[in-house]
Amino acid sequence: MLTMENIFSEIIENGGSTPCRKVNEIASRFPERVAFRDKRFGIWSEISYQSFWDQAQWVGCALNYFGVDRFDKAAVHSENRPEWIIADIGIQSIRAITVGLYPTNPPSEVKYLLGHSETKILFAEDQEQVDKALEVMDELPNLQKIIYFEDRGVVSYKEDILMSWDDFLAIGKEEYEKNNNFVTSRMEEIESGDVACLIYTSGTTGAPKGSMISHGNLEWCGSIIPKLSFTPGISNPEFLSYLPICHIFGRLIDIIVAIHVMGTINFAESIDTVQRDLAEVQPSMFPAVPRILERMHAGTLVRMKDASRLKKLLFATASKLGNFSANRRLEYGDADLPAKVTNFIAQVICFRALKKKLGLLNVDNAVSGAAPIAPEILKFFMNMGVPIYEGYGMTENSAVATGNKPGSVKLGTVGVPQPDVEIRLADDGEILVRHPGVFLGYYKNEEATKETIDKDGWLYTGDVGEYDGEFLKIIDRKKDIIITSGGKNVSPSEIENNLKTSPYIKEAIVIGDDRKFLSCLIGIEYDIVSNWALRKNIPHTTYRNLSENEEVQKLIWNEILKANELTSSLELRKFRMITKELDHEDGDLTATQKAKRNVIMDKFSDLIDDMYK
Amino acid sequence: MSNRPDLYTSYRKESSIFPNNTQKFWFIVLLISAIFVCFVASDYWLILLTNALLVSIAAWGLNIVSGLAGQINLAHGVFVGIGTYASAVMGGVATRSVIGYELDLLLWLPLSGLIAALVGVLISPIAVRLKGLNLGLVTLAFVFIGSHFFSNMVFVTGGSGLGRKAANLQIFGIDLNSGLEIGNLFLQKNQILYFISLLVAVLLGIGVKNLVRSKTGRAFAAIRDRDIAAEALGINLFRFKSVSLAISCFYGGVAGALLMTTFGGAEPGTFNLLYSITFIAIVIIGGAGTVLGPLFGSFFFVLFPALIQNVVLSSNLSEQELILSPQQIERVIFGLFIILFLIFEPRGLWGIWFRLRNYFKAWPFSY
Repeated sequence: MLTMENIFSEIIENGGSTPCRKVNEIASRFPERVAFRDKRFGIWSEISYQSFWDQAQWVGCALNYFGVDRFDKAAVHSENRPEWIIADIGIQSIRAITVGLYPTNPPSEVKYLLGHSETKILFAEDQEQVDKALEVMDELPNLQKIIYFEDRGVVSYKEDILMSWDDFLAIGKEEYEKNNNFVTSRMEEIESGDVACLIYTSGTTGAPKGSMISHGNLEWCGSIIPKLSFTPGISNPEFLSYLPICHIFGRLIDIIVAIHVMGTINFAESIDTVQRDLAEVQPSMFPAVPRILERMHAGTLVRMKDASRLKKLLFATASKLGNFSANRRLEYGDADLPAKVTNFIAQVICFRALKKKLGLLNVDNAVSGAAPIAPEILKFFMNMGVPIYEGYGMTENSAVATGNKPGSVKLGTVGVPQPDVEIRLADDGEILVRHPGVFLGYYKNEEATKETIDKDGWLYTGDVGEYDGEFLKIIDRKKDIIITSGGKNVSPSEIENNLKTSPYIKEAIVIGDDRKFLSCLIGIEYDIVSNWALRKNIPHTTYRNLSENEEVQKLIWNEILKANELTSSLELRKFRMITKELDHEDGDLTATQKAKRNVIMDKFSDLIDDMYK
Repeated sequence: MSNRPDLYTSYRKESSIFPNNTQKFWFIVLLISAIFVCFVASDYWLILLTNALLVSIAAWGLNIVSGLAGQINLAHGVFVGIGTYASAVMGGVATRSVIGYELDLLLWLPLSGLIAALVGVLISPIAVRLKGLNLGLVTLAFVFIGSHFFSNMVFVTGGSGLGRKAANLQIFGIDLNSGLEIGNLFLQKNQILYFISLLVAVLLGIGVKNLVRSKTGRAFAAIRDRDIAAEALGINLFRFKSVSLAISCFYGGVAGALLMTTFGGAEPGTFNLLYSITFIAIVIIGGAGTVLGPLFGSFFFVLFPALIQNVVLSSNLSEQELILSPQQIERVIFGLFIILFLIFEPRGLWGIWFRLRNYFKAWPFSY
């Protein structure tokens, strides 16, 4: 029986390897080990590492058949599913480069990303993604083949450029049988300096930039896994893949960590079923982004309102006990006896069942990253006994920089540097990072690369931070910091996160640059506010109608007052409701669901002007 | 995988009879306590429990055709009667007035079920062409036809007002009427009957559970929910309605055979309309369309009146003071329960159980 200790000590001994080599290694050592579980029609069907590697090799052979050579690009445009990772490993194993696209990317962005990266082969999930590519195909001279995973709706398409995944694999299999050493010998050629994948930053400002992540970066990430902040204590490598793999965070967890620890990656049936699938999988390691945690938090609070009195009372009691316990743990460490006792009671009366419902029962270690999170949300989960630690990283440093870790947590900070990571603060407070995981540069953008990496290898993150003891605290994106007309510096993300702690608020954009006072634009969480309105007998129809309701405005104002109490800097004086749901396709959000400030400020300038009249 | 009880990697696992260990655990606990009860309960209670188990089997039978396949059947008692007399003929002793072949229990028990099923299949062409109230009326007619036959086929039933003795209790040629000695353990006749009933009930109970999850069971449910839609799905209505009736009659027949053996004999007048309606009441009180429901209903039906009688008798009040006899009081209270259940919990005892279970299952939420 292979335990996590064995796996970790093996990694410490042998160092990391790039994912495709690792998959090959696992397939030869433990061919029957389950690599993926994919939920189809309610049943989790399993795919072994042997089958995973076979299919990846077929992909490699088929790509070669279609003329994809070393350093050519192939893109994947799909939700998370086994084919995503199989294609990715197949592409990388023949020394080609993977480009990931977000499923929400509209045709215009598809055109930009495929064109900029000079993609030759596109793996598109289904009719929706195929349609986007076909729409812009004429302007993409390099694109030679589109491989689709799901043939529903696509079968009747006549375009020669289309091919189904099964046919593609069949070609690959044929090629593989002609020369079954092709992929393995090509894989031997891979050097650490080779680009493994292009990860396009979501681009809150301007066009997306393609970060070149090398095999060396991936190897280094693999080698430090046992020492990373979010890996200690994991007893069993079960993962649920729901973070987009085209984003560095999803890639770090699913392709680097999960494969390195020979784990099983479970794929949710769809975005809508993540919550239920999570409860079925009960993963042992849970990477989370603030949005998911905020939703879980809001969902729990709202559903608790519907619970019977006894259940409410027990939940309230458990929360108090959990809070006490978590505070003791933060202060005196995990071994504190009063903390253990109170935690035990809280678990028995409520939290164990709650964690099971949320799918967090078996979580040995959870990490929150990709965006700042309000300490209240983290505290909520810590009270519940979920070991969740905030970390910090970005695409350009392979998502590895700092992290809180078991026994060393300070809420509101992003923790201490990860192993082998050097951190420095520039004179203006900008955080500089240096380690072997720092990317090679932006693809076809020398200028931006020079601005980001200096000659000594320091990465300029664009984030401003300060030290709180040994813990690093992120203040904000450098360009987002607000300077009011009174000359006061304000970090909008702190206030925005305090606002988003409220279950009713989904989006908050704080305004105040060069203004007399701070104000904000608020987007409501429709489901929850609608539920609240139903209870209060407030009639409503659409999102807009609900947002404009006076009672709802009062509710939101009260939430803002609460957030003001939590905020150390200036308080918000006015707010306006955003009357439409922000959306990636309308250009309001980035693919990672971050609000694009400048676009929104522009779009809703009349609301803003109204506040400062 | 024990940490992930809800993660199913195949349909076979998801639809297994006991999908998780908790259910297995409680099933075994129940079984062990059922065996244990046999050695501590008095004869009075043991016979009641045996009776309850057998009534459950019959109720499961009605539940299959009515609860699961949605076909009204007011004549279930008749099928129980057919099983009863089939067993008496097969396993009973011939006298001057009645016939009997003195077969082994291992033969007469399944045969009595099969004969009841056969009669069910024979009348099914009439029954499956009807639905709703019309079907109810036809089955009602069948109750009277059945009563007529029972009263007049003297060579089988012993005739109205007289009845006949039950089948012989012998297995592999061993006569069990005077008990059985296994090592230094001596089992009374009642205990043996209890065990046989328990065994048959467990087997047939698992049978129902299995039926519900099978293709046939799903076809039944489809017919119940909407026969036209079911037909459009490719379900052969005639065949599946007949099958449901046959299985239902088989359960009724087996239950009837063992019931008669428990009480030693049966009089043809027993199997009247009221008798059939009793089973409907049990299914309603227990909860239609479920496996546990009829079990709850039967135990309630058998044990509750016994409790009332106990209370009335121990109160030392005479019949004059009470106006009604203990039996009448029992009937009145029971009738009240049926009314109350239909008004407040149409899903029956099972519904209460279901709500309780969900209260804890959804913890700490409410849904």
